[in-house]
Amino acid sequence: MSEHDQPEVSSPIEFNETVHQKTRLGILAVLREAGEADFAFLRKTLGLTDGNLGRHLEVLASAGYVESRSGYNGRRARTWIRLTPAGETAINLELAALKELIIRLEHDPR
Amino acid sequence: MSKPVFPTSALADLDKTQSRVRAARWVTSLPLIVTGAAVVTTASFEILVEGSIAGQVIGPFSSVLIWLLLMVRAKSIGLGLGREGFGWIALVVVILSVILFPVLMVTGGLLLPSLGLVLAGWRGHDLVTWASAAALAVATPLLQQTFVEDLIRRAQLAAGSEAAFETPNIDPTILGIIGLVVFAIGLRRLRQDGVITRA
Repeated sequence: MSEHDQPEVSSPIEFNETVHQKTRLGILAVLREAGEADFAFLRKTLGLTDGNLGRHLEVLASAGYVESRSGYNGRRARTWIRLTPAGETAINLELAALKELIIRLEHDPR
Repeated sequence: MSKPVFPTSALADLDKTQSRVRAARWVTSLPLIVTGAAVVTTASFEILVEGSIAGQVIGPFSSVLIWLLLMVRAKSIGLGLGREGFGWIALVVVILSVILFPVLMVTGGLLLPSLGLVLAGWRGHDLVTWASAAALAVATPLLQQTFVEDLIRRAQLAAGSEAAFETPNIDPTILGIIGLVVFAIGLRRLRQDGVITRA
């Protein structure tokens, strides 16, 4: 087999395990669109329980992708979650990786 | 705790989530409704009051109103203001409307808010918003300079007729119609927002 007959080997697509998870991807998608969101909006929109959302937010916060702050809406306390620049970069890279994977699957669906 | 992510369904889910957030914020509908109403009001003043400068006041006011309404809406449902930058755009439009007041007498006061909306639509990846705003940004200075009226007059002269019929308010009328179309697009999108958020 000559050098030209070798199948083209493309570099593997790397996914960030913190971001490459359905719920966390959903959280980052909401934050990417709105910049910040309160805990209740995220819970309702993504259909999660308090505990489940809290655990996923902990993972994202420990990676430096989101940060939280407390605020008030009238008398009601609210916890706001904000996307950090590192978080924005992470979700943009994840989106690019997913698109790249789809392109490769379309070209070589084995 | 870790669910697998399939690329096509993941991208579809992300798209759906972002559409729901956008619909909840009214960010693709409310700016068009306010801008459309501002254009119709300005056109009405131009028809009713000769040499009206209402556009110079209504234009920057509409940019501030869009920002305020979007902020109230976002905070009430528990969201941030997003990446479109409506606050900065309103601030710049107000400042430039004061500094460039004499220039805007020629171009019309709706030029700056239209350009601001083009920027917001582009930043928000919203083709309908930026295309509508771009159309307004092109139409406003032309119609301010009685472009259509002059065109009709020239056509009449070229045809050899001496101003067969007068069309004094044709330009503000066209501006008003464009405003109504923008307003209607905004209302239609607001209804769609309701459908998406209820789904």
